[in-house]
Amino acid sequence: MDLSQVYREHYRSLVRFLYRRTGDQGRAEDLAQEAFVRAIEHQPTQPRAWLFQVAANLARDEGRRLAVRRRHLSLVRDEVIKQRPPRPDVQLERKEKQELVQAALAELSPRDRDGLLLWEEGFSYDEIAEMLGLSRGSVGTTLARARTRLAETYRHLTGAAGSDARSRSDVAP
Amino acid sequence: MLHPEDGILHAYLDGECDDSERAEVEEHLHSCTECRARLEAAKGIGLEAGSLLGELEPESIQAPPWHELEQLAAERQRATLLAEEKESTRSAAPFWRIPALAWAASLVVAFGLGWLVSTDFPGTAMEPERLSMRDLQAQSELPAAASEELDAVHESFESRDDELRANRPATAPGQDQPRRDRDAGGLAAADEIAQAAAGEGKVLDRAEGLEEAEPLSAPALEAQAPAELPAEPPADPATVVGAVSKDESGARQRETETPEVRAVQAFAARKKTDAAGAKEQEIVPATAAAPEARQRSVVAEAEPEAVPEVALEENVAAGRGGYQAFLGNFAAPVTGDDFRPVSAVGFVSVSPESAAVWLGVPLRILPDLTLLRVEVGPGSVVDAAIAGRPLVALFYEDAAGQRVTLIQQHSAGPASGSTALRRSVAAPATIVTPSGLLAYRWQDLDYHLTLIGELSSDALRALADRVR
Repeated sequence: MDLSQVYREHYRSLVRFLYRRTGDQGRAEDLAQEAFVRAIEHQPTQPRAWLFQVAANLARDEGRRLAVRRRHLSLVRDEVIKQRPPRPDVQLERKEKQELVQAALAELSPRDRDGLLLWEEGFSYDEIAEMLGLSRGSVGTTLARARTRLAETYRHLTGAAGSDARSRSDVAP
Repeated sequence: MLHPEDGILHAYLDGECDDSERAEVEEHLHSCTECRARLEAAKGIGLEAGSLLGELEPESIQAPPWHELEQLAAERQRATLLAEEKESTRSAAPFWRIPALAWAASLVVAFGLGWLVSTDFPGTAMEPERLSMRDLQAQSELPAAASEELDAVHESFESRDDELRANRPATAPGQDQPRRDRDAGGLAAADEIAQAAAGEGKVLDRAEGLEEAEPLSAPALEAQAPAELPAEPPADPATVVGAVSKDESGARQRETETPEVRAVQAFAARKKTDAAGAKEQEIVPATAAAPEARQRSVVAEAEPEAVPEVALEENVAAGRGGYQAFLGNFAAPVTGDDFRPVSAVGFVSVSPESAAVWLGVPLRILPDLTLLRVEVGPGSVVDAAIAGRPLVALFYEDAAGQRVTLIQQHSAGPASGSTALRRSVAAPATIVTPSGLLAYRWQDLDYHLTLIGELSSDALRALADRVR
């Protein structure tokens, strides 16, 4: 398939995949473009799977570099959350929810998370197995574990955040 | 059946069970309430996970135009190759990295052809094709002053001729029998002979001019020389016209053993500075250099033939070779029924925008014709082109299905201060290709242009006037 066509059809999907991986849309777009530039150089035979694999690797490598910085940022963010007065703002709630989902995703093992995100982008079990180096039979197990973990962690986080919110409203003027 | 694992249930819900698996699961679910509940729970988890991920939807995504990514890739490869080139020339390279023989061989070609013709583009690559040294000798119009070294050049050029013939692909139509007769190209050939007679002695001037008048020209050109290779070599060797034949290494081996090469090496060594002298100490056969060259990934994949022989600074001065290879690469596919996607070793199809990036200047075009394809490749792959500079080929067709190829290179870039390259303006010339096609070449605003097609020379000239 022509790469420019792959670009038209799957760029958005790749950005979403990376956005969910990194939690940062700007970086997701940068990495997606980087993956496509590399694809131009390499002309892979299976461009879509190749792009997602390269993108995942790029995100992982960058993730390692940024790990320290992010830890620092999350501490800062906790401070911000604690100091922020509660407001019935829909946008804010959505933003908060996104952050919690992102945090829940971060609790998954890299392979479970990649499997789940690839499934969400429409890859089949066969493709996911090949991309992650799994047997086909273990893809279902991986997805089952990833979904369960994601849902449970999110519930756990919302429970914690909910009590946070309550305590904050208690102390709010 | 035992109670199916969660993974099986998820696969079942995802529609990823095969038929027998699905039948088993359904049979079990039919009789097992516990697992029906598990299935419902799995369904709930799946929906919840999907909906949570749905929260992570990026906002409006701005996708840059595709050609911008292509340009980025092209620019990056330029930079990479440039860095590689610099590194390989700067570092104390192991002996097998020094393209000593290539350097000598390029001198052979430069001296041989410069001596042959004087009115071609100075410092560039257009040479009279099909005018073998044997033909010239038969004319006995040769200048009397031919030295031993020039004699050596003779034979070396002949052997290069042979090599080119050996490399010519059997699939290229009309090339099985190299045409050494000059009747078809009588006019051009006669011109060339006259020019050759007048041109003796200018070669050395030119070479010395490069060294003396512009001592810095080589580094400058190197710095400016874009990585001339396109993004990706054609993956399928079968699509490559002019692919290196297996005979090549043998041919090159023969070449290394000829006394004339040694003579020119010695001659070149005398003319070179200390650094070049050091190279000469370490001359090794090109065959030994080949494995290393193939390790240079992009370069080696794209042009296994050209790499061991290319040193940028030499090639700018000496980047010329057999016109047969040049026209063999481009003329044949244009006229043949099998309109190949890739016409020459190391050439790839790109968008016109990308080609312009490679060229470094706007493309010259034929606005009246239908553009079928644009290819870009390294000048060093195409003999009779400027090595070290990208070459762009535009493949056109008119309403009647008549095809013509416009080939272009550009010699002046931001870093090119070389007056030697533009010391004179070349006279336009019509050339007969080995396959019998006519080619018309001319120079315009630092563009080196060639039109090739199944057309008369008048038609080609008229078409050349329409190039914008």
